[in-house]
Amino acid sequence: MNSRKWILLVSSVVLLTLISFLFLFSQGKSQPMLGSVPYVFWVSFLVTCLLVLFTFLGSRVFPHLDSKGK
Amino acid sequence: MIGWLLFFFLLFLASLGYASYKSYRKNRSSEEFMLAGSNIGTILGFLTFSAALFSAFTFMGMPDFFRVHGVGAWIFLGFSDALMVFFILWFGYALRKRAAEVGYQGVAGFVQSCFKNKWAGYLVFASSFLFLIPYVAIQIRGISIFLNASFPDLLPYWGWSALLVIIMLVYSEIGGLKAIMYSDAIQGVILLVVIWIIGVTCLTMAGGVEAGTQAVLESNEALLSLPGPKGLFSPAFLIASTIAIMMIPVSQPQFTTRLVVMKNLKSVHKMAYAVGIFAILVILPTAFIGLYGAVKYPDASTADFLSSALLFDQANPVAALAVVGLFAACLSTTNAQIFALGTELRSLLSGEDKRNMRITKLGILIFSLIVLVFSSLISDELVLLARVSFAGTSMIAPVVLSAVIFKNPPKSILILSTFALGYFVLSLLGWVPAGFAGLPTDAAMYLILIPTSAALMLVHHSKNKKLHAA
Repeated sequence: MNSRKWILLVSSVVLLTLISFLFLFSQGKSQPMLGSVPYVFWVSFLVTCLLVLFTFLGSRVFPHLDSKGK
Repeated sequence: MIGWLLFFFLLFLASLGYASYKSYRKNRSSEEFMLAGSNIGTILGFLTFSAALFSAFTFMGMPDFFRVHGVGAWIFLGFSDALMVFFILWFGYALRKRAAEVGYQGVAGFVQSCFKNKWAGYLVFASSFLFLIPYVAIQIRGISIFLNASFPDLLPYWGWSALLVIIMLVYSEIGGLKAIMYSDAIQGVILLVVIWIIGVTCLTMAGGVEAGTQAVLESNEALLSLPGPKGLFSPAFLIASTIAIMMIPVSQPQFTTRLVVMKNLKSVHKMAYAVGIFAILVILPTAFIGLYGAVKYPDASTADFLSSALLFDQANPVAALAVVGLFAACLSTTNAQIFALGTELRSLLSGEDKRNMRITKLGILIFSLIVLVFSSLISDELVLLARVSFAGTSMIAPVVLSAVIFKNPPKSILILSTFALGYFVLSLLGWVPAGFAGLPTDAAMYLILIPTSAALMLVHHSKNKKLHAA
């Protein structure tokens, strides 16, 4: 079960990275602003927070155990 | 100001002294000295990893990067770091599994054992030596120039550099990796506190986010979008940077070793997301400082902007804390890297433990002296030189990755990485064209290195499968 969740999570990260580079991180775009924060900054900040959240979730569902067994 | 500086500096030195004292053990083995007994918990692990990762280049380079190249600097470091910490979840597991099978004393020795080929170890060592030395030198140069500009009468430029190296050598000699990790923890906390104090002060002085952004919009609108006013943040640059930074735990031995010496996999995973949170917290205030710089010092030189924003525009205690914070940030990265070179050297040695320790300590001393000399020869482009270091070491990432993935890794990967590393070095020397197909060298090399490595690994995997089936 954890293995499926982990694969789903890895796929989400890969997809998010591709979407970011292909569509979100657009050249020459500063609108729409969030409050007075320019587009590139708030969108990349949001993606970064999502990736860190995925890392936290990944640490919970990672399907393998430490072979050191400590 | 000098009074505050002495106060904070003595406090900092006392805490380093205490860390060394706590880590000192008589008659310790080289395993205890170089790998801290391989029993590091989550909090110490996360602080030492973060302190080694975020250095003077974060403290000084990132505000300047935001000021000069604009908001894309967040993608360059924040986004890339977040991908790196996610990658650590799998890489930490796979590395520790393989290290438990073949043993681990350093990346070079580990790769040598996995490939059963001494040249594999030499390749990793050569890459670390070639790219960590300039990276350490950048840190030392950055901080020394800054301190010399700020306190011209206190010490000459080389005096600051020498002071830093001597402190580093003394406490790493006394306490080994454990002392370095304790001092990293102290330095990580100092870095985070100081950068937030300065960041908030700068944001207030810029008139807040709204007024600051409005001022930048009127003076240099290109700072608010990609690729920035100088066109640096092109898709090729950002993708290549992301790959180089993601590969840091694979190709920079000070980080690889930190993943192995953690107590267990759970600690590694907790450490990974904690570093991600730390990255966001450390990089965000550098954007505030950069915004302030873009508003108030748009045309100033890097040194003038930094000494004004970090020192002269701050209240005396904050400015003194900034100097100590910078010193701490620089020290934590340089000691991690120099010590890592020592670890790599030791992992290639065989024979009696005491003799290996003697050679390793001598090696660390020699590396420090080389760094000291080199720091007076290189340029002041902190962030870009750091990026060259990340990109250069990432050329051997396929070697480390295949050592981690395969029981008998394919030798063809060694040839491929040697070619990539060789070409990268030659392009830096200007002996071969820097980049091709309109791409910078690192992006062009990744375009070859990644698909070829993947193809070689897939072919090797299917061959092994057939062999087992037969």
